[in-house]
Amino acid sequence: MAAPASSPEVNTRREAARTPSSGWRATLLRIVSTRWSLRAWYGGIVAFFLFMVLLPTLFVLGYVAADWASVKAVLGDPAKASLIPHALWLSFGVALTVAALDLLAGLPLAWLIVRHDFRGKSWFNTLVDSPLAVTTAGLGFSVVLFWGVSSKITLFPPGAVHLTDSAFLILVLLHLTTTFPYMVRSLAAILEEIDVEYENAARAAGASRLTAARTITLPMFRSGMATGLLLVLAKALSDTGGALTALTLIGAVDRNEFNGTALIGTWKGLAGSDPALQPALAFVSALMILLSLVLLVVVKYVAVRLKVPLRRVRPRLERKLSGPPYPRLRNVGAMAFLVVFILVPSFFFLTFLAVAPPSDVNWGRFWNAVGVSFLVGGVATAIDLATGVPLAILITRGRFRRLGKALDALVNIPYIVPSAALGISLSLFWGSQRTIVPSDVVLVTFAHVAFTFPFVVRNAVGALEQLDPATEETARTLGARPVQVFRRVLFPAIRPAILAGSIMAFTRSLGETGATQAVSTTTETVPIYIVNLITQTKDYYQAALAQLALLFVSFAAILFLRLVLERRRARG
Amino acid sequence: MAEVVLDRVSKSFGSKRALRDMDLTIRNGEYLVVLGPSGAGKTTLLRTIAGLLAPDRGRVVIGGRDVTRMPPDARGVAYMPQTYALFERMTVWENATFSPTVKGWPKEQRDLLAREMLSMVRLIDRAEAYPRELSGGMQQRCALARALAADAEVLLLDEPLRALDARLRIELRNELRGLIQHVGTTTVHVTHDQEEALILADRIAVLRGGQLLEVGTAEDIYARPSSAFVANFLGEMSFFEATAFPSEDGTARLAAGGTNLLASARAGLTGRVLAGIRAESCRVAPPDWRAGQGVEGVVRRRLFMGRRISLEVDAGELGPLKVKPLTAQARWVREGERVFVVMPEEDILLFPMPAGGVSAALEVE
Amino acid sequence: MPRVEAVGIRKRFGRVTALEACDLAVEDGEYLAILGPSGCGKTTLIKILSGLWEPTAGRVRVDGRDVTGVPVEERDLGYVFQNIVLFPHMDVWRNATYGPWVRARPPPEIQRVGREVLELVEMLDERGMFPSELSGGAQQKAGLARALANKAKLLILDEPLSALDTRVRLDLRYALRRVVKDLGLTAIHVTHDQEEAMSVADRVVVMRKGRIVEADAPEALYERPKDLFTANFVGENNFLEGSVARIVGGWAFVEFRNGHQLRVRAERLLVGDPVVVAARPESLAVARDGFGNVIPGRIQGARFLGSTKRLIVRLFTDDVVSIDLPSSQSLNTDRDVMVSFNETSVLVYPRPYMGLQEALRLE
Repeated sequence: MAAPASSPEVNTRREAARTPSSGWRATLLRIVSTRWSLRAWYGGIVAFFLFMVLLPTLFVLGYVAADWASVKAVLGDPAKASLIPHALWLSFGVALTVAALDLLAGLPLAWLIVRHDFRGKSWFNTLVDSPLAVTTAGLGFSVVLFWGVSSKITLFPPGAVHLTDSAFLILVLLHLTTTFPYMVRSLAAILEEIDVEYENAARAAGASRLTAARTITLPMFRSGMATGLLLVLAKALSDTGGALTALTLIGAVDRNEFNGTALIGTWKGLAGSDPALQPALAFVSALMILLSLVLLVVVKYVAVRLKVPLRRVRPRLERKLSGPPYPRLRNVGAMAFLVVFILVPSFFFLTFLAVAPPSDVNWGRFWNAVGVSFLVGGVATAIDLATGVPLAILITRGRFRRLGKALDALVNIPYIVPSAALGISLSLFWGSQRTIVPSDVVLVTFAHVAFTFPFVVRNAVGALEQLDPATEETARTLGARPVQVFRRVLFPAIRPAILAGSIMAFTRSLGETGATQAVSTTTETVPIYIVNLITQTKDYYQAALAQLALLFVSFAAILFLRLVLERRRARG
Repeated sequence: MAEVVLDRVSKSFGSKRALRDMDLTIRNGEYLVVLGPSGAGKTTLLRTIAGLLAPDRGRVVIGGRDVTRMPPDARGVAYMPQTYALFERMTVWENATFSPTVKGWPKEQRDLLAREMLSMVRLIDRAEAYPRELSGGMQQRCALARALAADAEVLLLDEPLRALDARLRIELRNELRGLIQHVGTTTVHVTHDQEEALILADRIAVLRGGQLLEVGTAEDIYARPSSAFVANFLGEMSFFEATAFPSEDGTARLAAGGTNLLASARAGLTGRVLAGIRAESCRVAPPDWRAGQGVEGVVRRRLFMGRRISLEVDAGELGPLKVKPLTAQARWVREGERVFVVMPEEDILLFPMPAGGVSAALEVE
Repeated sequence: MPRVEAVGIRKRFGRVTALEACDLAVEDGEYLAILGPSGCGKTTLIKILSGLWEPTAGRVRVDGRDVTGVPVEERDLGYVFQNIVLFPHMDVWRNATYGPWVRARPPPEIQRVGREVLELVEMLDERGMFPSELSGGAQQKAGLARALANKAKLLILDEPLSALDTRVRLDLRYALRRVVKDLGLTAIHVTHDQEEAMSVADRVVVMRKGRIVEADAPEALYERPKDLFTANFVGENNFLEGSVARIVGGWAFVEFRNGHQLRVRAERLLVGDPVVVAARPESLAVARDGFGNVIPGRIQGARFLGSTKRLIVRLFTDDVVSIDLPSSQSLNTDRDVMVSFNETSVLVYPRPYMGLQEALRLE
């Protein structure tokens, strides 16, 4: 056995290390690392989530149950009651149809992106994501411009299709543009995780590419597909701005045809003068929240267990379909869908700017709206980060796995619930609390925190789950306290995911119409500004210009955000 | 460096008992190898010492302090998991200085220690590289430098060589011992590879099903294993049933399958016994040239392994025998031929017949 | 006619060359092992041979027919994957019968084949279990059954045993060879473990950095490796650098540092040649006196290895060598000894121009 053969410097070092370090940093570290500090911190985060996010979101359910008498009175009024079933049908029917179409068209596109390598792939990815940069109100306008029949638009640019003025169809076409990028992104993310060796093993056993894909890869996809479906359904159900503009432009509003969020938006606008609408609003919101929760459960827990029959194999046919020209046909088809149904309709409003006569633009009002949007979005995202990341850590690394799982499921609620309904619920919850909520802008910010919160949490959870826990464990044994482990090991590793989550949260907030409107009739964010331009002022040119300006502003904001976080990395 | 004592440590995961009443003392400055099959509880043992798992019962004492309730960062241990868990976003240098940095060491001493450790593992000129740019062997050395730079009292290595190529494993294990000896830290090294254990260990602890079967120096355990499992795990063995009759001079006389053999190791058992001999201790000779006691048989299987040849010989009533003579000695043997397997009396080990049957007693998975 | 032939295979990924001019021929019924360190290109080579990947240049022939570019699903072979990759959503039975099922074989045939292959690997009782419920060794056996189910005559195995524990590996090695020989298959088995390669194969191909270094039967490869890298990679070896001092009769005298000399066979050596002498630990011994082919040295350490003892000796040439001795021999550290070299098993190589360390490097 060898005697300790270390140099004398090592021994002096050992002695130095034994004496505890001093200074305010070390003391602070020690205080923060005690068991009670950590417990208080996590307790606070959970309390924040429950009382600032979850409870306000579901409050309206209790409200309706408590004040059933007023609700019954409203339901007795046929003018109002008759609108509700059709509104629900338009909201949920459209959402489900769009989800199915997105899945069918998104799968080949996701396959193309993941399994094939071609030059300019990152540009292609950006192209697929580009419709996300346009507000839903702008998309509503653009889609009606391209596909729709409208008596309200006097000048249609060349290339407009004039297909229909059916509310259902137009809403489907609209929501294809609002949701498709989400579906493709989700599918691509899961496909990336499935090791291509499984397909190789299937092919080595004699399966054609098509057979291998449908018998091996697709079944392994299932839980990922559920995530994509949820994202798409949530987005389609939540949209207010797009529905309002589209339905107005095709004259559906004049025909008293609304979907759920448009109904809420319209009634909220009228609620100032007609107090009887208040319980009606609450009722519709509660109904939409309930139905979306049911949808959440169905998709997450039932759809995943569904067994797709795949007993029969037709080798010759499948081999034929795996070979030329079918894969190319598939790729061309997917691209064509992307261009015709997604890209062109999304940006068609730009052609309007080219052909329509310019009108006077109230830039002051525009920049004011931008200021409000950015203030609300920025503060909401900051709160999301400060509270969402610790919650994500609690969910994935907390001591009580069941609590973590429960929280993980609950975080989905503000996400799937239509934001307009969420806004109503929130305004009812905070309505009387004028001391805590001094102004409308603060209330709007609270609302924005609620529905953007899940983006940061889910992204952080995803990244944390992928990390090898051994890394943190090793760091602890090397002497790092939990705070140090977070700062030096965890955070750098999940920073890209957090950045992605913050960008998603920020852009989601920028594009939100329904919740803002449901909470406050006076706060004017940019999407509300655009909706007002289209539905009230009917100044389409100004609306399109404002949308274009917003495109540039959002792009600049995202670049700035990226730069700031990258620079902090270089320094830290 | 410090002494580590596990005092009646037990740990269960649901219905699975990972550690059962473990009593183990690891001496100051010792290189202890914990050897056992997968699922034996080796990793659980390591993680319990590290503080990443809390035992259900029992105490963990490091350097005289009861650390059972202490968090990992306060125990003075450094843990190196199987996957190395290098910090991917930090350079080699930053990985190496991690521990002294979080412990608040002054910059000068921190840099001195990191430089010393990185030079020792010969990675000092790759200090600015990121882990993903390094080869497997270099990553392992980086993880080792990081662990050594923690200046811990106890070093815990979880299968540190497993992720490496076979040939690289052989090369690095010789280095590993030299490095750690130089620093002198008490080390607990977990592995399932018995060759690795023999080369590296001051003492070996054999684990199976959460239980400590035996602890001792390599020579002791090899020559005098306490059970058939330990004997078999430390070097492939052939087992056969025999009846033992004592004789005056202390050797046992064995009657097995029509042959008479003498066994001088562990005489004292009589009646039905389980006799065993290591494959590497046997020699082979042509059937007509008896160079000692043994048994005749037909070669059923011959595998060339480089230094040795692995044979399976059908010895009739004695059953199949595993024989691994040196190639130089056994080059002439061919499959299907008759040979005489020489079984030296000092190498025959005797064990009581296991209650549940021989294969259950030896099972590894 | 060789069953599988690779001619001039080259593979590039962007700017990285993974394979450089590989030529290989596998005979019918041969069990070939492709051996090399990680990153040497062995997996790339078999992916090209099997049709999973296409080569950048070169041709692959099976039974004389050019199959370059023919995708794997149209080839007739069985493939065992490195990380096993059993289909996680199917049980053992459905995994094993996947091949015939996907070729729409009639159900009675699928039943028969399924039973046959699972019985062969002794997994019939576990046929209802899912991969996540199985141990590593059991998973690999199921993977083998799946590869055999299409009755192909060619079997390709990509590091089939690497993920398993030592003990399990040893048992499965022989099972693999037995199955291949019993069924009369041609097998190509890739591994980084030289002991594994030598024990299963009829012939071993050694690869390094995208090239084939050497190919030979296991015993010839071990005892007379033609390349310096092989001498180090297959088994352990001691290396001494020196130069040829004089040649007398059929023997050459190689001189090392500090004037010590060894006698070796003079095949194709000339006076003044810089050489590397290789001697395996088991071919060295401790001599009682200074006569014979000996170099003196001092014992630095000894390790007990079970039936043998490993002695570390620092020769007076400043080289450090390992010697394998029977355990019974007991020697004290810091003693001076005479290390004798067996001139019949010692090998001589020209000194590599890139330096010995670089030539032997494993990574």
